[in-house]
Amino acid sequence: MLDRPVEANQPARGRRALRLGVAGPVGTGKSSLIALICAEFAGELSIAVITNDIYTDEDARFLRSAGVLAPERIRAVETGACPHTAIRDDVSQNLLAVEDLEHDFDPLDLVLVESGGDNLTATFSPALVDAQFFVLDVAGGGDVARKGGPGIARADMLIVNKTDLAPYVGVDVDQMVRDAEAARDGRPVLALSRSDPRSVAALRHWLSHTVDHFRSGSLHPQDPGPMAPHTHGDGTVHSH
Amino acid sequence: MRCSDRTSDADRADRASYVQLVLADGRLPTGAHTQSAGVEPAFRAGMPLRQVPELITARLRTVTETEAATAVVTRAVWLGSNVPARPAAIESVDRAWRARTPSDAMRSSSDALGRGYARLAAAVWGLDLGGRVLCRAVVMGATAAAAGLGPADIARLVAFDDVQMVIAAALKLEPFDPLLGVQWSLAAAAEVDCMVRRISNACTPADIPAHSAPLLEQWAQQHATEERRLYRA
Ligand SMILES: Nc1nc2c(ncn2[C@@H]2O[C@H](COP(=O)(O)OP(=O)(O)O)[C@@H](O)[C@H]2O)c(=O)[nH]1
Ligand SMILES: [Mg+2]
Repeated sequence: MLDRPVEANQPARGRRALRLGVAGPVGTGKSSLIALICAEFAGELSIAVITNDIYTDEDARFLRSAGVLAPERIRAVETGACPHTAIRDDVSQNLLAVEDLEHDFDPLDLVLVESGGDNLTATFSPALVDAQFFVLDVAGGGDVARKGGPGIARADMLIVNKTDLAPYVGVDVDQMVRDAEAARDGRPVLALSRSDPRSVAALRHWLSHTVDHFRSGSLHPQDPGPMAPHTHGDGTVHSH
Repeated sequence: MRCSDRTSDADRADRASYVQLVLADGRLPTGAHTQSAGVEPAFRAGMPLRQVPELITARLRTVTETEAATAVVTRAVWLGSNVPARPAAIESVDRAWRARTPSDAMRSSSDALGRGYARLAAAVWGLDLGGRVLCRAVVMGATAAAAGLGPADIARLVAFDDVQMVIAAALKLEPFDPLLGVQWSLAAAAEVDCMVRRISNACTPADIPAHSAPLLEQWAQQHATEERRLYRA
């Protein structure tokens, strides 16, 4: 039936824009992180953004109103109540949106794709993005990093966001970062607050490095993988 | 005997029915999960849940019949044309569908699905549609030709997709027992069979019926500018 091997019909990596996914639970600061990146790299990188809202185009509107990017460079994809599906099992509508942006604003350096903020199990398919952030925040609790999940364990970069709030929510940021590092086998963790210039500089450094890495052709998308196999109350074991 | 050596007609029919099942799976990665086949627009306009079966019937007799006939004709035109002439030949079928689909909201959601489907067919069957944006029905028709499906197979697939899209989206939008959805799907079978019989012999663009469905079209148009929608159309 297969006449030829299935391969991604995309331009050679390194010649199109770097596609960077931003995943993580609702409210952890994904849209704000995207706005921060747009502001930091304005005039340096040509950027476009795709949002995957669950129920509205609120994220796209927020980003347009933030004034950090021309509004026509921000597009919303509907997910039919399946933000998880749209970035992993069936990425076709997101890929079309990425390709349209690359076509309309050629040459683009960076396309940021915000996930609909499903839950700890949602990660991007390597067919859609070249690299991905997973965003947690301190307000979600210091133990979230220990709870693990594919994004926490294996995203290219784990962000522990809103560290400025740590004193108010009783979270020990250093401990949360250590827990995250332990869950990640040495993959990077960044404690970030948009009001902490040093952390913003570290974000900037990682992203510049990743863009260079991508352009040189040596960045290969890593798949954080699906949910780990788990057990239900009735004794069935499966891995969704 | 190796499985791949079997080539009798019966084997080909078995193979086609397996391909049809693969293409009918709601998890087929073509972006269909972003669409509600008109049921979210209908609910927004006040249609009660209990009328979902009637919506399905109305669609099967109008917009879905037009889509299914478009797919059947595309398949015939594709198989009846020389390889280099195929892209231009199916474009005339695409134009015929557009002329019968006055709602631009319906046309644009079909285009989005057509692009997703074309990506799948290019990767799996090497289908080359000349890089044009074509409506979903035309892409499905060309895919049917490439994948060895017959006219009734592809007509039934278009119909089944539509029925299931309505029911799956309704389940996300309104509270009801999913088992009722399965009953609704099975209850639509007779209507699907009638529709498939009506259009399976279509072979030229002129054979594609031009049913009007003004209410469905108006709802589709309204939905395109709705706030807080779950589905694109
Ligand atoms: N204190 C603080 N609040 C932040 C920070 N980043 C984002 N927020 C706030 O967190 C809330 C959720 O942010 P948003 O970007 O919409 O989260 P998303 O749902 O993950 O996209 C908003 O009220 C933001 O202003 C930060 O670094 N510090
Ligand atoms: Mg957001």
